[in-house]
Amino acid sequence: MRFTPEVLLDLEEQSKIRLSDERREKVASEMEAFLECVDAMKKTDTEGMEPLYHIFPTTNVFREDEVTNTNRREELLENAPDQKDGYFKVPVTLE
Amino acid sequence: MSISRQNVETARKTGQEFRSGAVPISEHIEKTISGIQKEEPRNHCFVTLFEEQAHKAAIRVAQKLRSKEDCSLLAGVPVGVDDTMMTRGRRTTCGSGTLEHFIPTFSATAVQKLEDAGMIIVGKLNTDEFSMGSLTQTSFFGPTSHPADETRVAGAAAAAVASGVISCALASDTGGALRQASAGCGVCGIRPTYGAVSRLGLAAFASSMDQIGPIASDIRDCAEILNIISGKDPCDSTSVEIDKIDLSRIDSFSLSGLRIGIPSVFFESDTDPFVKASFHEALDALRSEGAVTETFSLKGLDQAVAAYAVISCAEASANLSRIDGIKYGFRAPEAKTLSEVYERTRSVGFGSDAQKRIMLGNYFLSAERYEEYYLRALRVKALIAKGFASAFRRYDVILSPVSPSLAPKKEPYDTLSMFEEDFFTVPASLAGLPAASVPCGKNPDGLSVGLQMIGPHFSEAKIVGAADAFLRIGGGQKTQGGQK
Repeated sequence: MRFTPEVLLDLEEQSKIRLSDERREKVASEMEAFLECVDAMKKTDTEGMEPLYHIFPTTNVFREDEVTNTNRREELLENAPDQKDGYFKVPVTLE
Repeated sequence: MSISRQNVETARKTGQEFRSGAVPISEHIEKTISGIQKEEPRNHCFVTLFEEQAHKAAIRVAQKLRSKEDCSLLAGVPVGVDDTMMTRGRRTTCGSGTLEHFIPTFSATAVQKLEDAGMIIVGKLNTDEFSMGSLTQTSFFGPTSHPADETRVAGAAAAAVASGVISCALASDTGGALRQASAGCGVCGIRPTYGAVSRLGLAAFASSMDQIGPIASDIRDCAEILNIISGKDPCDSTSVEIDKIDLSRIDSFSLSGLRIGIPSVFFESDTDPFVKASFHEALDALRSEGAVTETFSLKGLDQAVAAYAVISCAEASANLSRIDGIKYGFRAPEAKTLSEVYERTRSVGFGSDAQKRIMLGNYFLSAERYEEYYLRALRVKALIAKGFASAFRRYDVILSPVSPSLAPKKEPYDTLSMFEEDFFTVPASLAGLPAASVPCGKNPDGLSVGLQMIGPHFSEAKIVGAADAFLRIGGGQKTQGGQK
């Protein structure tokens, strides 16, 4: 079992997702089964293959340094769960 | 109810009727929306209907047509859009509880291009949560019903087209959702070459594979829509310009001498017998028209699902970190500190499948396992892409079934089995190749099988030509495993 309670807690912390105690065991076993399936990949001989990030060669794209966007603060804030004085409002940031 | 497409006109024909003035656009839109509303309680294809906006657009487009303004052949045609694509000022949920009330401030480039071409978006189609799945099983809003069997699931864009309420739709395809949805409902769909359609405004799931493509009951409609939405977008640096498909040349496309490759591993897979039989009959039909088929070995293909699973979860874990309850979407009301906002919002907001994929993605990307999983998956991807490139020196197209099974029942699913359904579709996703799904069989219960046609990068015209020729010889009309 690779998804031990410690590993799972660590992943929950990284993912900012807290599993309920009832779900934790089931999720761990499902993820374990998933990993076993993925592990089959290790049999594939990829000798000499470089990791392929992009299908097509990518180059940096430059544009003229001109402002093209406009101020849409009000519109954007309309989707905010909470706002104040034209800013996104959040609860206490330092505990 | 069985799938009947007798009453469905092609989008091109509808567009022609608008241009000639034979049918008023407003009337057609009204009929379309009431048709959707009538079928919706059973089908559950739409998350949101844009009734009012569609009526306004109908008036605008009709005016444009009257004043002979430059409009596309599909001006006025109603279209559905997968709910993972942003529609400015109109609700976009991505099938997620986290975005249940989200109103985007811009439209996806593909959506904008449809509207610029005069097409009328009647509503947003149900989708798996952030596209994580194929047949709406993970949607926050519940699954879409298969048009032929209410106890089974279906991709909403394809189900809406198959049930005849709309003639065409835009869908997204990361590991094969667009193709599987099309196959399951017996309609046509094209996943374009990676980059052929801008991803701006498509909610990112696995950015290196996400693509937008058309679904329609008619492959030529798919081509026409692809011509509208494709092209370089300055706001998506991975987008590229592609040649438009010349529909006038499709009639002359000949299957004679077409070189078809079939990876041998595709014959060894655990595939439903009816799917297998339909696929073999499709190959027979193509051979009888002079196509030449050959099996070949493509290294790494048997591990495509594993590589796809690792890469897609890794990318999803990064992409979905933006869902944090701060700037938009759902925020857990009881959270008292910033850290609680993140954690509770994501614990309550995301469905269980999304949560598992995010955690798996973080596992694969962690410092200790990055080399073992993520980099290895990228090497398998390289191997597969190289294998395809060399195969396309010998073959014009590569064929396979689209899905190893028929439409699944509405029952609890697990993440792993959903990935296994992607067996035939993920290779093209990994290699960024264009692939079409065309109908090639229907069992006595009305459940359809799709034939997948994969081509080299930017060979959309050839795929459409081959698909159209296959449909012309009746390849898609077979039922009960062979009889026309």
